[in-house]
Amino acid sequence: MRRLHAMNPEAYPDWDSIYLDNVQRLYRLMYSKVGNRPDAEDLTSEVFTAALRPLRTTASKPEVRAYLIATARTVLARYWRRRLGAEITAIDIDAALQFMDDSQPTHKDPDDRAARVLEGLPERYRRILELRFLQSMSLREVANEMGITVGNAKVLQHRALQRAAKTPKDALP
Amino acid sequence: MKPRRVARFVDSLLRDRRPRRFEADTEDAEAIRAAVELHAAEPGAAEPTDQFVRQLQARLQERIGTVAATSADEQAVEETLESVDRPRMSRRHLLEGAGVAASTAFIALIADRLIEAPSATKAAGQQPMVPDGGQWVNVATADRVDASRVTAFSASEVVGFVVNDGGNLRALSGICTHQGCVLHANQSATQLDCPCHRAAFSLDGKVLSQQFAGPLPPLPTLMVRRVGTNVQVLLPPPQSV
Repeated sequence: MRRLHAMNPEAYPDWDSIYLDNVQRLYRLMYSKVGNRPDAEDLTSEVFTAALRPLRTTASKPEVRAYLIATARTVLARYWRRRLGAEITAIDIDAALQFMDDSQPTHKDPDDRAARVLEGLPERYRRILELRFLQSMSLREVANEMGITVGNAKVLQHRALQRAAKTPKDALP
Repeated sequence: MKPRRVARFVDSLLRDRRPRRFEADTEDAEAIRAAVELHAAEPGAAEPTDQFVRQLQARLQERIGTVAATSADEQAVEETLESVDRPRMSRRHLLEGAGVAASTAFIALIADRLIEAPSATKAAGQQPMVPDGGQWVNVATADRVDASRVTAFSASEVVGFVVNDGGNLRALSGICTHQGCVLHANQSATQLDCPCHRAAFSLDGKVLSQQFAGPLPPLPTLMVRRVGTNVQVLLPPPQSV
């Protein structure tokens, strides 16, 4: 089997530069997949720790990124299987490669995306998600605001999210 | 459906806390996916803190002093990269990454690695099947695969097809996504037919026809590669009985 690093013109000089060049984007990728800081930090650490040893021997930026992304995909899949018994979000290799490539602008404005999803929903669904996600109200506050019980707010939130999940979105990484 | 569990999960997300585990059903999973995406879309939320970046850097530096790479690691990197499903890492992307100084040798090498890349685009909703602890297993000789458009294989845990698309290889599950009957290639090797309910799939796994209501998922893809005179597919480790 051939060894890429033997003849690679553009190599990372050392591990630190691999890390510093990729940590932000990898974290953002993970955050976009799990939606909370503690887990995004854990998963980012897990990917770099797993990649630390093997990657000392590899070289080019694209190869390093492809390896990090492949590792991230596995780590994320395991996370969801353990946490909820189902793979809630997954990493698409192609989109993630683009996302990790610093020569490309990071595509969509995230605000837009949320707005677009909410826009397509029936009034009450949109309302509860706006209050929760954009105005950061608690369920109790939302229930008061909408004149319903907390129990009903939970069910409404659940239905609204399910409907939101069915809104077609642009491919995210 | 568990609105209370989901509500608690959403609460954790909104407070940036680690959500608790529970067994989610399909409806819960959909709701949580939407919640993750909505919350992750909030501006500024996605940046790592300086503190986190520095601490992880220090931890990794500490570790790197104590570990040395082995040839097994190199092997692992090679295999992972192959399983990344090369095709989706485009030539343009690789070359851009390599910069203008890329030597001819490097370009040749990348081109060589990309040669197995299936050219077909993925069918909507098509999932790669990547087994945990997968192993590359010989499923056919390269000669045999080269000689026909479709080669059926049967391994201990998986049956499927290797499709030869003008020299590019692709592998698909050979199980109908309707009720699990084993597919067979039609006589002219242009599609994969289900013997049970007359569903038919194209050679890239898309649904061509079906006679029952409801959407039918495309066939999962498998990782495939050519190694010397053999064609290998990434399969689950054999189960001891």
